[in-house]
Amino acid sequence: MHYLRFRYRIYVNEIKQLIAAISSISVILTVFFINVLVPVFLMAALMVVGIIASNTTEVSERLVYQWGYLLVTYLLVKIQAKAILATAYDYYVSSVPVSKARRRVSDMLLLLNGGNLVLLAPIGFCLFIPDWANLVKSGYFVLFALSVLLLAIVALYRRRVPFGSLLVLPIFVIYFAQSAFWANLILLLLILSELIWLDGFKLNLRPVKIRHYAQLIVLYVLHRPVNFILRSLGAGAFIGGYGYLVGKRPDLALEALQLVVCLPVALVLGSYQFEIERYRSQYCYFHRSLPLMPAYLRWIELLPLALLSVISLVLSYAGGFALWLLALQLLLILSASLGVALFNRHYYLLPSAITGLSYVIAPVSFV
Amino acid sequence: MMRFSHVCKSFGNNAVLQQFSYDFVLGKHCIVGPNGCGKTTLLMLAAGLETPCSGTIDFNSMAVQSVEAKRVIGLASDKVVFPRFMTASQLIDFHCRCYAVPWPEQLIVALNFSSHIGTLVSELSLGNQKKLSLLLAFAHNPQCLLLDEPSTGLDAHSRDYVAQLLEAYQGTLIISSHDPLFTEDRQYQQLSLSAD
Repeated sequence: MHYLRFRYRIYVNEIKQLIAAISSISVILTVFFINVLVPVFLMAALMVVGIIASNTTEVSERLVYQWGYLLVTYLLVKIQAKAILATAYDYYVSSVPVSKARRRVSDMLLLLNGGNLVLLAPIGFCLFIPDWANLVKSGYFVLFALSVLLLAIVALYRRRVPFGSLLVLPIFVIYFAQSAFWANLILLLLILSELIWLDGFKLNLRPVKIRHYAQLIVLYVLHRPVNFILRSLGAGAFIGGYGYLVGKRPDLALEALQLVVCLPVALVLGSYQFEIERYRSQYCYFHRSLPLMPAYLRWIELLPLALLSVISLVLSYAGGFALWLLALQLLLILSASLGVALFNRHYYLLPSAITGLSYVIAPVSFV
Repeated sequence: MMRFSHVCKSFGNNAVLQQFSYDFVLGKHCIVGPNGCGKTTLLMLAAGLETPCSGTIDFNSMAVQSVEAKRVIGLASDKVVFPRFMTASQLIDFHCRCYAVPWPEQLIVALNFSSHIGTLVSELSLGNQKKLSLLLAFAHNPQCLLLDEPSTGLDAHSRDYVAQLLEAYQGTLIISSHDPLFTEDRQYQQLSLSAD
């Protein structure tokens, strides 16, 4: 059997298992997913590529579409990465006497197959650029097509999430970019640097001496930074969304909007306590064996949440939130974290009740 | 003295200890019995890491769950999972700081653990995890030492060294083991638990 065919069979088998796993959740969901969502999703991707390619689309609007497109590309490849790389049969596949180049070619062909139209459409559009003059004029699109390809390779080979290109830079360029070409060039260079350095970059915390319980908790947070970063970005997205909305519709009632934003921000940040509860349950005997007062341990374990709260409050303050809403936001975050300890999955009850109560006590109008 | 008074402990419908009363006086004790009879549970209760459903457990008149008791008790058990995100060195350092004791260099060298000191707990072999757990149990010179299968997984050299340490130990020592090194040693008072 040809090597590529062998790899393809592994890929198909893995994807079948993935679909079977989804079908075990719900047959209806699977039928809906396979028969309706996938074609809709692919068609939508093609339409979005058309919008991005169009010279008449505004720069900021184009960058928002590009951002969404890159996110979809990343997710599409990431869920298939193990199937494409035959990770489940890693040792056996490595033992097959095939050159490294041939392995890479197989990876790339399976990647294009798995990425399907989402991956091929931007390259296809590039091929329709009629002449050099247009190529220079549409240079931003060529860069975008390359970014999509490169990001797919990052999703395939890199274990870590490329937060820089997926989340941080897009938010930055949407607000500040004047030229689509330069924005795309910076994005492409960032993705390239992520491809080279993403997994290699390692925060070496081994020599750090751990003397206090607070340091141990910080070490735990740094051990799993994704949960912390995602929550900060989530809160930032809500507050940024508020800023965007106010910019577009200055006639809206500001305090009412701020109150609306406070609850999801608190829920996103307060849910970090689930991480701490997980730590406590994973190391329950170690935790109980510590010769330290339980109340002291509890207070120290609130440190990551306190840091998240500070980030959120600073962003809210910069966004022009009223002072009483900043205080309310802090109260909601604390109540959400308390809710995690008291009600577990229903941790939203307490902050929701407080938000409802604030509408009654300090009525705010949406008009 | 470690005193168990009318202790009951069950997990769900499975009653492990029922009205268990026993005084572990100063000296060496070995708990024996078939798998699942509650040997490890008894050690976890003695260390204050499990709470009895009823009854009381004291060490020298201190409730074992109090911070004061924890300061004078040392436990080594595979049940205690150490933070996998710390290195052995960080964990020992933190332990020494909590108990206000010096770095246990002599123990580390004697157990041939020096070369693994910078390794993450998650990357330690089972044998080295056992050594780390023993190191932490001995590090603060506890008045009461609780060891769950202390010789399992150790190399011959470390096993001999641990045997020497235990030979010289002056406090209340409670071991759970199937190893003849302890079960056939007359210094150890045997406490037999049954599976029923």
